[in-house]
Amino acid sequence: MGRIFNLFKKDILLGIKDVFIILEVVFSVFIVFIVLFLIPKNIEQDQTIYVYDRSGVITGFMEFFGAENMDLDSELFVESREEIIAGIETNKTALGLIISANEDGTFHTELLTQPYTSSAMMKFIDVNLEDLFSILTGTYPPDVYAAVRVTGLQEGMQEDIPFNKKMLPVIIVMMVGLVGLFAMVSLVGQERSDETIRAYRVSPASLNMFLLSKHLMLLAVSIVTFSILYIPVMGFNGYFPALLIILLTVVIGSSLGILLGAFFESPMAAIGWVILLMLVISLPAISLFAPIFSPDWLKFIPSYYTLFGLDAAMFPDNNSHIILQGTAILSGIALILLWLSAKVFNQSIRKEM
Amino acid sequence: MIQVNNLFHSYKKNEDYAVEDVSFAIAKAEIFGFLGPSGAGKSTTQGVLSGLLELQKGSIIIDGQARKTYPDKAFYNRIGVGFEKPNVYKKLNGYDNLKFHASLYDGDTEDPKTVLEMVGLADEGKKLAGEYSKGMMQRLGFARSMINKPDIWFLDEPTMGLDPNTANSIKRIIRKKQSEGTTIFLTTHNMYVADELCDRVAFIVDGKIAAMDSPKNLKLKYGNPTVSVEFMEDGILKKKDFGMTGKDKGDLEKFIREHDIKTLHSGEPTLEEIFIRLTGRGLE
Repeated sequence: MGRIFNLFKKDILLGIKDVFIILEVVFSVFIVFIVLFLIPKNIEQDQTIYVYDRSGVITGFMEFFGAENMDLDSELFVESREEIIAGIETNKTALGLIISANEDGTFHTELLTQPYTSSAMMKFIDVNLEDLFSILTGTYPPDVYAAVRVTGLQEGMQEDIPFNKKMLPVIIVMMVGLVGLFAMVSLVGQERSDETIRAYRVSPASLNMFLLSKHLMLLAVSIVTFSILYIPVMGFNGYFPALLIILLTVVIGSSLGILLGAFFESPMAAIGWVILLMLVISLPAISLFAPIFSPDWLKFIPSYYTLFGLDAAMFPDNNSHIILQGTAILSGIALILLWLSAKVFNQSIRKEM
Repeated sequence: MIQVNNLFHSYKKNEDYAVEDVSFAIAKAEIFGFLGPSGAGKSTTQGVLSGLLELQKGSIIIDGQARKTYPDKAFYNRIGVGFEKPNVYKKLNGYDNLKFHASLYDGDTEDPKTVLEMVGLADEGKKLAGEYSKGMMQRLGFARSMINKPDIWFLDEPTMGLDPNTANSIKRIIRKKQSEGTTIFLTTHNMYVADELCDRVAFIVDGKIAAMDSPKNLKLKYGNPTVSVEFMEDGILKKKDFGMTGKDKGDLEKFIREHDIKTLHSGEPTLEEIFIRLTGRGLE
């Protein structure tokens, strides 16, 4: 216990003297200031839907609800299927909808989607339309639609979240989650290039303890920077689930950092890989802001679960299963990477003099 | 105390050996030197002995106990390793460097202040190691290697890059530790350090031991002592060398009788000369 404490103390001291910890804290304060006071709260992010209404039902809706009560800002009315296809080919986040009337008075809808449109999004539109048709055909009264919005399937598509808050998960992933990766490459690389790790290796302390101390240091710094970013914006709403998710992400990032640190002798030699990994890890952020872009391969990137888990923890909306699923998947990945990185690092270092 | 039998080591784990069939024994409180040029296998042998590198082939027996692939924790508690490069945290001060390393050991350790004083860094303990000169950093690395009061001490080029005064104080510490019972394995390519400090030396070239004995015995066995005579002839100071055995001995006696001798110096071969004679290679 004393040994790990002394290692941890040394790593914290080196982190402070290397200015890494101070920079992290200062940047977090600076960024939270930007989020609170400079990023606008309202930015329109509506999805464009090209609508080819062959049935005239939209006119019916307008008469039924009153055009002024309908939110049709996202809809773009066109006159043919070809126009829809041309539209969604140009606008890669747009969808198309063709509505036709059947002979028996019911309606038929056809949704034209992008190859990467998420099934949740399609289901959401489907259920909304079904609701509207049910009201129009008298299956259930209009006040039901007015009172009960379809929220169960929205999963992060809430409309009334201020934009600056919506940005926070992405900022946290970049500032806290990914810093573990960069910092670990740097910490391990420094010990290798200064050869301090050689002196450590001829002591009775193990290499696993050496790595554990660095993980603990990065987790401690992450708790501080996460709290600086989170609490002023969100208070303690969803703080603990969000913290758990981000800490698991830090472990994943720092384990990846150890793997890179095992192969590259200096932090600068690994910088290309670090940037590439950081770019890949940032990709799921697109899906968070444009839910229509949700190809299945994005789910293979751990930060997908971090972003959607954080989003679910911050904006509860019948979506606690996303937090649980995210936590479970991130825990699994973290455990595998912890084991793998320690094994690879041990083997790689032991080959060296 | 330390018995090494038929030690082999290959970095590529093939037949390309950096150390090949090396055997030697070191007695308790002995200073055993490994003398050889760069790349001869000195550091590799030290790496395997100190547990930095795995034991691939051969055996290492310490106090009657055979070593496994890697040593156990108890072994690391009793050894000290001084590297050619100082291996210190440049962002920590000298005192914190030593305090941190002391905290890694289970047993009794030296007081960092005492060790800093021993290596002449008492006044620089609170200074960041990164601000030290090369020699100071070297001394700090040396101090680190003895922080756990090792009874087996591995030293790689302990005086390299040091000024003569500091080098002398380091040599004094090594001798003092020896007198306290510490067994010392010293690798160097500096013949003077080896000659001055080591009870026995092994010459290593291309991973193999070429000769092993005390420096004195090596010189007696393989050296050819000479006498250098300076004499006056026709008003000019001249110099002539004679061997000290056989016909040369008689020639020298006759020369002394017949000439105006000014100085007489006996010339003992250096370890480097013996090394070159035995291996056909220099030490640099």
